[in-house]
Amino acid sequence: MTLFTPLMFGPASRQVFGLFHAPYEDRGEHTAVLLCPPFGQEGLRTHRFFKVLAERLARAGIATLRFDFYGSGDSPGDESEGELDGWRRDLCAAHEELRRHAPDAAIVWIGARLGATLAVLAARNGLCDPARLVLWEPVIDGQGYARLLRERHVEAIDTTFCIPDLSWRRSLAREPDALPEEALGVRLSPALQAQLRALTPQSLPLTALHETLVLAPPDDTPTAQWAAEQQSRHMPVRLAYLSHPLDWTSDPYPHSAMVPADALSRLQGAIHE
Amino acid sequence: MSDLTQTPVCFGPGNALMGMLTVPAQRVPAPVACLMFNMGANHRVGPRRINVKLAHVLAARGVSSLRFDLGGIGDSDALDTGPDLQTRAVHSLQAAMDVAQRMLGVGQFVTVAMCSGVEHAMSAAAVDARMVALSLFDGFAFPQRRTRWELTVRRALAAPLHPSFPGKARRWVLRHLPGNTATQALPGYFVDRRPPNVNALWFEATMKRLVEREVAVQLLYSGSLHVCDRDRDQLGALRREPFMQGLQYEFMREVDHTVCTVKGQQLFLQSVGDWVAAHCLATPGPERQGRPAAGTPRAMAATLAAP
Repeated sequence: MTLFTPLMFGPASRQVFGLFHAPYEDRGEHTAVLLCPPFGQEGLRTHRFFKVLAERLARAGIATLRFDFYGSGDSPGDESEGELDGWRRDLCAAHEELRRHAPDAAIVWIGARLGATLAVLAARNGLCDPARLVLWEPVIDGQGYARLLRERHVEAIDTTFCIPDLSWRRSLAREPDALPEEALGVRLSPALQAQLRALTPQSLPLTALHETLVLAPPDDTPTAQWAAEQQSRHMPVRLAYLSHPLDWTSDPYPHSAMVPADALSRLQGAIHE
Repeated sequence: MSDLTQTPVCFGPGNALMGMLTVPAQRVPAPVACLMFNMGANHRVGPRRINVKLAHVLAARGVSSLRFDLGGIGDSDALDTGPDLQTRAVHSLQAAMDVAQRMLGVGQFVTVAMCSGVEHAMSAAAVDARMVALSLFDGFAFPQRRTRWELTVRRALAAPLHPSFPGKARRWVLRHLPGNTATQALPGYFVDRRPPNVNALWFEATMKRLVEREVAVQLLYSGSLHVCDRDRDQLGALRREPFMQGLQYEFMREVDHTVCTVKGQQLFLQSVGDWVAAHCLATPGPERQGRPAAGTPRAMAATLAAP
């Protein structure tokens, strides 16, 4: 028996798909969680992870909503329409939808990768009011992120074809910093390319309106520096290290971790830290 | 994109299965609907969201579709309706036909299946007359000695230039180390492993049965498996069989197994979209009437008109 409710919500011209996980029982929890998924292949790759996390949270008495940004996952729209401003509004629409289902709860946003970045952008906007942000490996350097996606795209082409098309690799070598028009099966709109180009640590200041927990791998120096800069501005932010075997950009496959237990437990615990 | 409506739906035993109906909004839907489901561990949207893209293409041409998760994959809970994975997958497919029949008023279906899903789709079609056409991507292949030898030679010649060769060589060595289990597929996780000759016998017998029942079949093979295909090479000796002559066969050299590139996606959507739409828009024959729908679907209230 399914223990969630599928929903379509948001403005009529821009509905998005979500799944609301009601608490299994009333445990006096006054917290609800909004899960903000990563972009593109990373979002497809972590679908199962966030389903399991939502079920765990619901079992602990915490109402949880997960959703797909417009033009991604099960939501309507073409991925070529994807860009950060629209997705930021989607996130606020999801927040309001969760507020409707859990009117008295303090809403925590858990965002991963570009979903975490969008959480920072949406929280700063002031139109929706999270009580707390949990940012799992946020993308703070859009240009570097686009390059990573492009490199992984080329690796995927190399690996999947028994005799690969070397033009992808040559193009990457010729113009290593070019913003890709496609990566790992997803079109990147011109607007999104421009937004990623402009996305820098300096363009992502946190606010003092909510607490923020940043989860990053121990070797992620840029994210640690960004968090330290926010602390120096007296923002309520804390950095914690989280290592895990999940490969964000790979295909879901039994040979690679899909729902690493340590990461699952760490995120579940993060909402109350 | 033309207008369409999307309706999430939970259905099947205990409403354990989760799917999304996509229906053309401003025209009478085709009399045959399309089913799409998982490839491997990808959830119902498919690898690279290809099922969603195909649903949009089909809706623009007047064809309704249901994409859904088999029991135990994606958002669907595991079914406890059969002794093995294959039986439970067939039950999931039949439950999908039941709910689509009830909600769309159609009694016939074209099913799009990829990779491990091919076996599930063929099994369901073999036992349920509502499935009238199958589009099967990278399913069963039986390349013979000449084809395998040609592939080996071409790969050997390309190996020095192949950027992924060191990694592939390392994985091959690891796989063949005694006692190593780390790189072996989990048995029975998505498909129950069977010896190649058993697979070939099952494929031949099932395909014969489907052809006799006039189920239309499109067989598609990606360029991940080979670099050229001279004469329906993936079918091996079966390509000479009379019953196979009516099936559509296409080797898609520029499409990879997980439809990673935009160009590959366009080729896939063009080929599958055309074929599925043609079979869905054709008027169904009176001899093909679906069985009565069973179960009570839990339809979600929300629908939408996409811009």
